[in-house]
Amino acid sequence: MKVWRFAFALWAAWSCASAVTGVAFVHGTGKQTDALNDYWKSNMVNSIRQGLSDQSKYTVINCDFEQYMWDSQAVGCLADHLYPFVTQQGVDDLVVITHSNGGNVMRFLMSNPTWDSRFPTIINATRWVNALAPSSLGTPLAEAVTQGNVFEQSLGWLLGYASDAVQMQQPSWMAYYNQNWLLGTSGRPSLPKGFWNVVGSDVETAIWDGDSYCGGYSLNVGLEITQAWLNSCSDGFLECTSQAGAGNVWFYDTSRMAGGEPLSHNQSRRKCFGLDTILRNDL
Amino acid sequence: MNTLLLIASLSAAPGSAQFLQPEQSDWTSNPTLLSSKVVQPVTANRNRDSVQFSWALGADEAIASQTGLSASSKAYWLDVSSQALAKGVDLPLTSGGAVIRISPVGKAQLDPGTLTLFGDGEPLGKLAVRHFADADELAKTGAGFSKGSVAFRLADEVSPTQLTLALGSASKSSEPYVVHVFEPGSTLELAVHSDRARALAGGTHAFRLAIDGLALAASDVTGYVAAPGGERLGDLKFSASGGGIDGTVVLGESATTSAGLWEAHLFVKAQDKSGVVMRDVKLPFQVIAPTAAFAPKVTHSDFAFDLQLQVAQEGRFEARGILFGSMADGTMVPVAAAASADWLAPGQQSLSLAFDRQHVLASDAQAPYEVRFLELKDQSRMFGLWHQERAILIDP
Repeated sequence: MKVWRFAFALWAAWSCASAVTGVAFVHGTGKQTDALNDYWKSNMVNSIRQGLSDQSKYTVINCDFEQYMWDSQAVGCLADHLYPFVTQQGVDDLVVITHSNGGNVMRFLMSNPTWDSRFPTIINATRWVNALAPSSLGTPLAEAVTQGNVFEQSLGWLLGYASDAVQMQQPSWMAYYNQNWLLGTSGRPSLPKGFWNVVGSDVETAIWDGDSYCGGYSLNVGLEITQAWLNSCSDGFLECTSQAGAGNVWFYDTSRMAGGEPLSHNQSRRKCFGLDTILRNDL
Repeated sequence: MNTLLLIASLSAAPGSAQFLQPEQSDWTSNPTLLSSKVVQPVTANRNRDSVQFSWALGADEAIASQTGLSASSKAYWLDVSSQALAKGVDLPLTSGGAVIRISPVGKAQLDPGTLTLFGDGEPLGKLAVRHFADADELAKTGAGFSKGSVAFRLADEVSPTQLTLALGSASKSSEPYVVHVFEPGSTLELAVHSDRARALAGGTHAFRLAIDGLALAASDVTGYVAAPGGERLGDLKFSASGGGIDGTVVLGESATTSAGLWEAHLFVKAQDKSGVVMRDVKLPFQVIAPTAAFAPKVTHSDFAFDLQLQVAQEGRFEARGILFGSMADGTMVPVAAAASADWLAPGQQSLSLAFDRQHVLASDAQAPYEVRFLELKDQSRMFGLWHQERAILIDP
C-alpha cells in the first residue's frame, strides 16, 4: 500500500506539474476559534507549510466539532472554509491534514458528496487526506464517559461533558454511522479520494523520559486508568484499530518517528519526533 | 476487446433495465405506510441544490452486506445515594483488576482520604489499589469524564466476589452519585446484537443478548429504550431462547430526526456459581419515519438511471448505488459509485443516478451490469429509507 501511495504521488507530481497545492489543517473534537495557536501550535503549521511552493496556500480550520459531524457547524463550517480556499485561491491539489475526530468530519464530507453543492468541488480539488490518529471506529473511552443512567446523561448535557461529538464517537455509534453514512471502512465502498492514516501506538508517561513532554503530556495517573479501557496498541485515547479503521494506513508512529518514538494522542498534532517533517515532505 | 466492441457493449438500449424484487434481508419502505399525519421536522440538511456525483471503485473492493449492530460490555453502574456511599455500597466482582469510578451527580467534591474498601467483608489495605486518580488527574486525560469524578484500579490479584466501597466524605452532600464498575480482566462479557440497525416508528425492534459461559434467565434482564437526548420511552420485554435472551420493544410514533440515535439500555443481574454477575450494555439504533420510497420502476440510458420515487413529506432525498460489472470468469465486481440528491416535494418524483461513463470504460468489467447496494436517504432528517443489495438488472 505504501508503494501504491508513492506511485500515486509520482503520478500526481507529473500530472499536476502546474497544479496549485494547498494544505488545510482540520482539528479534532472541540469548538475552536484559534486552532492555529490552541490546537496545532504555530511551529507545527509553519514547519509543514514550508513544503508548499507558495507558503501562503494554507488554511487552519476553526469550527465547532462538539456537534455531530453532519451538523452545519461541523461539516457545514468545514465547507465554509474549504470551498473559498480552493475556489478563491485556485487550489486544485489540496492536501487535508486532520486530527482525531476531524477525520470523521472530513470523511462525512467525502462520503456524502451530494449533501451540499460545494462538496463535489472540494472533493475534486482534494489530492488526499492525511488523517492523524483518526477516531474512525470510535473509542471505548467515549462509551465510558457516557455510561450511566438517563438522569446522569441528561445532566451531562448541561455540564457539557457528553457533547454530541463524544456521544457519536462511542464504538457502537460509529459502527452505525460507518455502516450507513460513512465510506472507507471494511466492507464499505472506498472514499472518492485517499484517506491515509498515521497511527499512534503507545503512550510514554515515565517521568524520567523527556520525550513524554513533547506535545504537553506529563506523567498523569489518570492515563493509567484510561488505559484500562484500551488495548495494548493505543495512543492513550484511541486504539490502533480505530485509527486504522478507515482508508489505508500510511504508517505506524514507531516506524517513522525519530528514535522509533510512539505518538500519543496529543503528540500526533504537535511538532514531535519529526512528524512535521514527514507531513511537509508529503506536500 | 477492441474499443469499438467495448463501446458497443456499453450502449445498452434505453429502458432495458429491471428493478428487482427486494429480498427479505433488504431494508425498504412500503409506500402504503407513508404517512403525512406526523410531520417530521427538517433538521439536518436544508440545502435545496440538485447535486450529482460519481466516482470509480476498484474491482477488488469487497463490499459486504449489512449485518446489523452489536455491542458488548464488562461493566455496570449503580445509582447510589450520598448516605449509602458514606455507609458502604456492595459491588459484585468477577475478576481482579477492576476499575471503579465514582461520579457525583452535582458539584460534590470527593475526598479520596475517606475511601475505605472491604473485600468479602475483610478490610483491604492500600496495596489493594494499583492506581488512584483524583478529579484533577482524570480531567487532565482529556477523555471527558464528568466533573468531579474519581477512579481507582484494583490490583490484579485483588479479586473478591464482593467489594464494599465506602466514601466518608459523601455524607457532606445530599446529592446522588453514580458508581461505575468496569472489569477488563473478566471473561464474563455481555454481548447484544440486533439484525437491524434501523426501526420504523410505530414498529418493533428486536435484540438478542447473551453472556458466554453463563446461562441467563429472562428474569435476569431488564431494560428500556431511550430516545436521543436521554428520554426514557418504553420498557423492553424479554424471553429466554437457545441459551440467550430475546428482547423486543414496541416503538411509539415519534422518530429520530437528526439528533443522534436511540438506544436500548440493557441490565443483567444473574447468579454465577461463584457469585453475582452484573452487566449493563447499550445498543444504538435509528428510528425512522418512511418519508419516501422507491417506486420499483426504472429506465436508463448510457448508465444514467431514472429512479421513480413516492415522496410523502418534502425534504432532501438522495439515491445512491454501486454499478457492478461482469468479469470474464463470470464474477461480478464493483465498477463505480454514484449519488444524486435534490429537494423534493410530496408526490411522484424522480432522481437520476448517473455513473460516469469514463469509469465504466476504464474498468475491465463488462456487461451484464447490475446496480447493487441501492440506497434512498432522507438527508434532511438523517433517515436511511431504503437499502437493497441487488436492485437493478441491466439486460445485456
